[in-house]
Amino acid sequence: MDGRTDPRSSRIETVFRRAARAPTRQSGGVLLVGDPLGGSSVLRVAGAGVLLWQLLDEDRTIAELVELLASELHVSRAEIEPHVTTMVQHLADANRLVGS
Amino acid sequence: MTGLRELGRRLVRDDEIATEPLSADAWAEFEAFVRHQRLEGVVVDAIATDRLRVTEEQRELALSAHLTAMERSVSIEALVGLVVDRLAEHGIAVCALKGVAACRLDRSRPELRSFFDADLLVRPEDLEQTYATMTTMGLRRRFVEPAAGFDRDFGKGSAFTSPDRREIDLHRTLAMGALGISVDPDELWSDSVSIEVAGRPMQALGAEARALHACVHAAASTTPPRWPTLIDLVELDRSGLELDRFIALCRSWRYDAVVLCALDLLATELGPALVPTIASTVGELRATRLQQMTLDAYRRPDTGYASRSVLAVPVIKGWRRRARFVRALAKPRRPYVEQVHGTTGARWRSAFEDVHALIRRRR
Repeated sequence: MDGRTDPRSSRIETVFRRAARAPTRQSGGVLLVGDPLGGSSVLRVAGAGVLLWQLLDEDRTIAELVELLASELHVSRAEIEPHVTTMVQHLADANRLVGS
Repeated sequence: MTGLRELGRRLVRDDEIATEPLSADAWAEFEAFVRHQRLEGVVVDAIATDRLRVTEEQRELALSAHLTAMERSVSIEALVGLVVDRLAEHGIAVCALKGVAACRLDRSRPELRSFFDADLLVRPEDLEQTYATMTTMGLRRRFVEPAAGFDRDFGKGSAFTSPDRREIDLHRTLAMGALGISVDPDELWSDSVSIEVAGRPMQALGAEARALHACVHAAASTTPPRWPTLIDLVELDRSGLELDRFIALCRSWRYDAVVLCALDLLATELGPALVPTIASTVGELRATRLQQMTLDAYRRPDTGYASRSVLAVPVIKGWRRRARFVRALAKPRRPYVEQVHGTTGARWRSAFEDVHALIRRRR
């Protein structure tokens, strides 16, 4: 995945667009994310995933997410990129499972 | 061990609770109390701020209980978001009541207030379209109404459940019977405030109406109120209620007895230290005999729907409306009788005993 990837043109786009329409709560470093489509499933997002989810409230490219997280967590972009990719893929899968 | 109630009070007062971790047995009791009172968020907050010392295992248990409670709230709010979307297609505005509104408006963080169902208010003229829309969404209405249009004119509303057992309690007013009919729906909406739930714009009652709703929810019940309702009242008071408006609404809705009772319950449950400043207004409240009788009909375990209905008649404005109310309950539709009472005979027997007990008490 490179900096030119535009999430708005991919399946992941739905996750980005709907992120702000999901109810959330936070406890003990775990973020609970409700189904933006109204289903009963709740996603538990821990650790850096919490920050990533918050960043998803606005449309951003994958490269922007990597940049922001690398800077926030004081790690290299190469180190964080696989985690971002996995996390975004996980969110996209969760979104698909709830019927998008 | 300090009594559970006292521990709970300290939690709510933001006091230091325990300097040493509770023993395993004491913790188990405390955990059950917290679960019953739905105070999981308050406990986690007390642990995080070091006011409650716990063992590592207790910390994990408290966090796990809080996450479970929050999962329920989040999944309810997801359904609320969907309902709000569908109703917006019909131009229907929705006002969040109780937990959904209180966690946003009357707590520093929504994590401090959990709820097991969502209470939503729509305008009376939107009630039937709302019922139809929610039914087409696959939500099942729990109770049928005694006559067509009864809920719109006299009822509280109806509860709906989703196939996965999430519940939305749909209101057109604050309570069933007299304590709901006496509330002017226009006054409920008149000073509503904007909130956002799951990214959707919604309304919530104004602060004074929220306080009166907390009062009626606490007082009009046969069981002691759960603490979050009382804490709503404490927090609303802390953030500054407009006392003139509070009293004006209280008089308009004939809630004097309700407020006096709610303040008593608050003092009993949470202790005198948390009694809100609105208690200073009690001198201006006048609970009439009819108000007291009406409230008793909600609070006494031996009193049922028939008594509450009889006591609702004087509150209904206009003879024609009163006649329609009486007719609907005297000769309800068969599905209503079957669902609520089984048979007409059983319904009349129960109503007779209920009203007879009411008259006996009055003497």
